[in-house]
Amino acid sequence: MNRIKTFIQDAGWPRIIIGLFLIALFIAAPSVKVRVDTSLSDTFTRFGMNAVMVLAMVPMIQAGCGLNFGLPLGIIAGLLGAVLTIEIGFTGALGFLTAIIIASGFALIFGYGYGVLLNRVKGDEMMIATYVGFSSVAFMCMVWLLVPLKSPNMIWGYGGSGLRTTITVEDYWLKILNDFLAVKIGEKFVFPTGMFLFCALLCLIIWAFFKTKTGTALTAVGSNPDFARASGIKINKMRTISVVLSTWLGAIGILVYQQSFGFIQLYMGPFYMAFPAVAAILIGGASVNKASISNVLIGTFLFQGILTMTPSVINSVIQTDMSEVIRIIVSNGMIIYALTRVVKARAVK
Amino acid sequence: METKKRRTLIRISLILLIILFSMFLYRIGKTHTLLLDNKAVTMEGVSFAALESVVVKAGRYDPVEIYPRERGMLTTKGPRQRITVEVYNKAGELSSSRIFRITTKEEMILISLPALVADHPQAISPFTPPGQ
Amino acid sequence: MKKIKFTKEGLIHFLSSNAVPIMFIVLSLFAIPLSGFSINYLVQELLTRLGRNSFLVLSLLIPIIAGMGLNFGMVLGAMAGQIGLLFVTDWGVAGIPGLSLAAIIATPLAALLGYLCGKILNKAKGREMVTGFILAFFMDGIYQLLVLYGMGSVIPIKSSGLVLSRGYGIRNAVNLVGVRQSLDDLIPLSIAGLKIPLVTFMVIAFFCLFIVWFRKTKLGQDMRALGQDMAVGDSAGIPVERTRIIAIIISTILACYGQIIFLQNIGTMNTYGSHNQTGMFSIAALLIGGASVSRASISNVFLGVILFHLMFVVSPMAGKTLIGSAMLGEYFRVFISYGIIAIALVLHAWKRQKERERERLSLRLGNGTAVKAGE
Repeated sequence: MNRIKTFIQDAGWPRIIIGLFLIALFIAAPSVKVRVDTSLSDTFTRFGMNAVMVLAMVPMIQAGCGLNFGLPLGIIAGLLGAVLTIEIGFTGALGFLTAIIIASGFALIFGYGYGVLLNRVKGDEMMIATYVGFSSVAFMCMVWLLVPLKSPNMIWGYGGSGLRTTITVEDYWLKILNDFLAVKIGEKFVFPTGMFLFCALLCLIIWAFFKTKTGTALTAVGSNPDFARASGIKINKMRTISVVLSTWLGAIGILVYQQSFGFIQLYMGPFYMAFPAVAAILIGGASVNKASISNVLIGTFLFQGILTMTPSVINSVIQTDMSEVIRIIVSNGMIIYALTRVVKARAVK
Repeated sequence: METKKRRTLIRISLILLIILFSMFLYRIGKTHTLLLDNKAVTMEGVSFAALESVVVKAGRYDPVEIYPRERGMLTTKGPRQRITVEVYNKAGELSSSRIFRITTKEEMILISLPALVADHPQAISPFTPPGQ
Repeated sequence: MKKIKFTKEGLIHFLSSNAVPIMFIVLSLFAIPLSGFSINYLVQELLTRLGRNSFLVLSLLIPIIAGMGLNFGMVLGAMAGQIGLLFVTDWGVAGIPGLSLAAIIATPLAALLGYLCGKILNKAKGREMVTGFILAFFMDGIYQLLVLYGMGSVIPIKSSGLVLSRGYGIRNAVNLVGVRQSLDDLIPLSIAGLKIPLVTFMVIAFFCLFIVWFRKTKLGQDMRALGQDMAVGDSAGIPVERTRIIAIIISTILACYGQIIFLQNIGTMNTYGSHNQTGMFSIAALLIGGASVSRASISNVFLGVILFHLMFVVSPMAGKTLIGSAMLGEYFRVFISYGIIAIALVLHAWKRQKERERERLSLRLGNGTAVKAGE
């Protein structure tokens, strides 16, 4: 009994409710003519698509910079990588790799500037992150319109200037990761092995990073800044590193997302992309200043599971499409829960 | 406990006042649709022919001209509305101009203009649009 | 009004503390001639927009006074106002009675939402703004649940014109035909060819007086004390939690009325978008007027509304003239709106951190060691 009690306390009621809800959806699926194998396949695919962006939350949370609402900045770096690679014309694995390299370059620059900014505004990071994210997306809207790129796959028809809103990656690196070593069971179930391996690789890198000296210093800065300062750790340097890391993962994350989704979304596409990632990691058990890899995995799975299952199941039951509204309520509700829980935790200490 | 009782009493009466006031607002602000028919009708055995040409004016609204066999419409605000019905004869001259007071609580009412001009008591009737 | 010292120091101080509005004025001076709009047109637009938006921006003042930052929860008040207007439009009540009825229906709803918002914000002290921000999104979901699914099915709606073709849920755009312009045109006034919404301005003026009076009441003083320093206010016996909640409730109710005024001017309600826009634009306007997260005054409100909406009207055409794309002007406008909030937040947080560091430094050096106030 006690163990169950502690489990509930640690996990928190919202998480448990969401988990049970998801299980209920899966159980109910066959009875409303929703195929479990397609659903599982979709869930796994969406898991892979989003996992890296959720992973991007971890460094900044651990370093005490709060939830990275400024993820769009990293996403923009990724978009730049993708767009420039298409302009150069590389396809397939080479294209994807080039995109990663170019994106990483941008991510480093953006992340550094962003990190320096956040260091000057300790305590208000989240709000500023949000608006830095928003402003950069809006700024890039202007850039996308003016940029002198010429690849016919990207610009508006009739030889106009500026890039299209959505650019397909079909001829370039569509599903390059997904299909790598994909496992197909039956007709409808495809397991995107390649993508999972890639995500696993990144998770491994991050996990290993946090075991290094820099990584532990970073965690110290987040959990106990005074102790960190006393130990001679340069707080600002650690925070900047976390921001750069976060931004870089965001860039990689959007590339992974795109290769599965099939499209590059410019202009206002990245605007709200931070929120699902934030919600996912919070659902996975992270708090505003503590996050682990397991939070990423559990959270992404639960969140994407709900997003996949709810439309199909509930729509068949009530004959309505409530998925959008449910998504809004669940993801934002989770964030609020996490934001209001911090005080309790501190009081307990 | 007297003060507490008094406070609750005052609060309840305030709420009642607001509710009454709201009902008042509802009444004076409610819009009504007056459907103006210029069709030949038969009521209680008495037939009225359609008027050759008739113009209905009401308050600040633009005048509505209704040809024979047509139905015009006026959307008014408030329970009472004065309308001026001007009937023109074939030569285009004003043959009669009368003022009617329309008081209604219904959402939509149907006014048969020929019957109204002839002062038939059933000229005005409530109207429910089909399908509601 | 503080005397502006015409010394170099005084000038630098003036420029830095009013950086945002000054930047904006300079930008506008460039953009206005580029846009090609006549002064007449601009003045009329500004008058209309002042009438339309000032109330909403004014509603943001009280939470700032109480130290709760920018009240993103005003969106909740806007939602309440919209629901009131939906009912009134459904029942066909028009004109001033319609507006008043909408306000009466919406007020308890706004109060309830404000109470919830206040309670949640109290649990997230120190992160009020982010929490309010997310709460607005969350409530948007609940609002959609109510309006897109509840109305027409569980909640009876009489006029089928309001309902979507599938049988339930309100349409995207609702024509507020009954109440359109009813407050503005109550006493029509036209000077030199410019239409002036007299009664609306009177309402706004009354609200300003209310704010001035409120600051002097005990409740207002309590809030100001909390705004200065929560701990000190607490030890002085001010009921911290309750006062903060009251501040939010008042702000939410006022935002509700503000949204009703806003919508009666436009005449059409964007059922699923108006309230979100409201929050964004009002906060941007306030910040552009020179307010900060912890300090805002009535003059910030009006200056901000004028500058923000001037930019709003002028940018698309200016963008077109400058680069040949009106789209660019529109994106520029969006960029400026978000960018300005970002800059204002950054400036404020930067200053705060510098103060904290200075305090810490002075503590370390020991009492009595003066720290040079050179910033």
